[in-house]
Amino acid sequence: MQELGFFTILFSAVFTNNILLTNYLGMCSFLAVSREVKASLGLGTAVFFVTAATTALNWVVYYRILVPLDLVYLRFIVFIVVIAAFVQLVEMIIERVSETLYQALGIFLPLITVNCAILGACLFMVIRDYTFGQACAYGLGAGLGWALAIMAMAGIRQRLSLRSRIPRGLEGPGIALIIAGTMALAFMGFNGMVSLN
Amino acid sequence: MTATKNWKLFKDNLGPQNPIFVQVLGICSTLAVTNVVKNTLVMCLGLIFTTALSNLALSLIRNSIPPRVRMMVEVLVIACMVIVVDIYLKAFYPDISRQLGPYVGLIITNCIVMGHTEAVALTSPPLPALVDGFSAGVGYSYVLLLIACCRELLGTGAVWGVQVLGPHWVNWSIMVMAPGGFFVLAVFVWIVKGWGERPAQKAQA
Amino acid sequence: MNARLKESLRTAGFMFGLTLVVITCVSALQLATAERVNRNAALFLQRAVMEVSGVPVPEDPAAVGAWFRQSVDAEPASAPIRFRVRDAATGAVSATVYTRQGRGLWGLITAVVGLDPAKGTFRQIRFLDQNETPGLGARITEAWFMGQIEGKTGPFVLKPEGTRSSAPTEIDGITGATITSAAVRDMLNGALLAAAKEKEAVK
Repeated sequence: MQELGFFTILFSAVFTNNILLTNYLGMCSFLAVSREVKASLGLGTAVFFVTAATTALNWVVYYRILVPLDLVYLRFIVFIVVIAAFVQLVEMIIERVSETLYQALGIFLPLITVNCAILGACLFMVIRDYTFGQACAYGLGAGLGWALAIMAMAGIRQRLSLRSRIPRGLEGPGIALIIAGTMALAFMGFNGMVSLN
Repeated sequence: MTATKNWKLFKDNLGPQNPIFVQVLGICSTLAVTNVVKNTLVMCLGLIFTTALSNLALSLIRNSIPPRVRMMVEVLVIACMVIVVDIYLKAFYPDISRQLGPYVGLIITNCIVMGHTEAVALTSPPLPALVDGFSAGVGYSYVLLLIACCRELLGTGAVWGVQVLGPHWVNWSIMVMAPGGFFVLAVFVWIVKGWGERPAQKAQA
Repeated sequence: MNARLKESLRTAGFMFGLTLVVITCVSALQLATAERVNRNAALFLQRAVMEVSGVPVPEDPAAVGAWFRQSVDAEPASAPIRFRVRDAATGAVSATVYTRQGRGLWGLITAVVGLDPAKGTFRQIRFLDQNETPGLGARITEAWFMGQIEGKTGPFVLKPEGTRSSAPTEIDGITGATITSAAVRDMLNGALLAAAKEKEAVK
């Protein structure tokens, strides 16, 4: 029985099992913010950091506190509270440290607490019995994958808004969903690659 | 008077205010299980339960919530409801609970639940809040059930596990996989939006 | 200043009280259903063992439990866990069932594998726990995949993609889910190895 390596998990979380395109997590902010590249870059970065950090943090909380105390059934509450507290903390730190960064990311931070992708990554990490290293890899990969997807989407939508004629009913969310579906199809093309390692 | 008001609230949430069609909100956790109708129904019932009761609970305590921790209180109450759903499923429907995996927990971050507690529960008395939460859940559910019917029918030739299409039917595997969900939802949004625009165009002409 | 302190205290007190109420409710519910959850898990395992040993599964949970007590010798001390299923009429061992674990792409896959000790062939496999990608790796739980080993002797190799041979030692993998398919193959072969070792020990 061979343990999965750091990079296998990282790669599959970014490409073959992109948390947004295969699990539909984090769709709300994905559809709302992906109109332009700049905003989606900000949100993508913020989600990336928070996912990576809270997945690791929640691993520690789950396996060092909840499991020994036999309180596993409280994990939903604990995870979401950890995420909310972490987001609050980051907001405070950014505000003190860098004004420009706060300008860029600040408005997205409240959106993040209710981003399903982050809670989703934490729950998947627990269900899949990851070790700490694997959980870190998965958190990084899931965040990166989400950021990648939203930026690609924003790029496509920006071009689309310039030079194409879309049926009236499809404007806005409709066309975004079709693009997302096509992207999901494209990402499925990465499927065979993991086995090469 | 209040009865008609509540009824209007109920209808609005099913039709013109339906969050899925207006803004495509809240599809996160549930769209993932729409490849099987049965799982979708269970998720939707869980969601209706959560929206209705968290709306009610928050509306009951709305006057004593300190404004600074508003979000935390909401999240706490919603998470509590979701855990109740999760425990109930584990105890009485273990097979379905196993298939849904982490998605039940993800109801917590569903934008619809959060949106309605924020917008309605904190400002209105318990009864309208309950009605609003319930109808928001129902409005959301019927759309997702329609999507699930399409996906299961095209993807496996069956609805609710019962084979409907004959042996000559070739399954569209793509429908059961992730891209299918996006495409079906897009088509639904298209149809509904197109429908809404027709009367407006006629009026212009 | 005093007013602000009071406000903060009230906020903290409110949060504390609410958390306490929420956790009490949830814990009470959890304790109330814990026994049921355990029973469900046991029933799930019993059903799986019944299916892989080729016995038709009755609807009634009580009947499954009764069958399990009557005709299965579990030997939890031996690793991997093994069940011996006896034929109701003759009392001869009609199937040995092994619990196997393997690493799939996303996590541990746990399964029970049934073998027919008289013929040395496979019966069926059922997955107790898996987290593979829906539509890809998770297709290992589909009936065609689980059923394809029935009556074969193994040890198995994965069928090279695009070929149409039907050698008894080949199983159809799942396209695009090589890691998952390989994990299942190893689990099947592992069960065979465990059975062979046992035979050796008896001799």
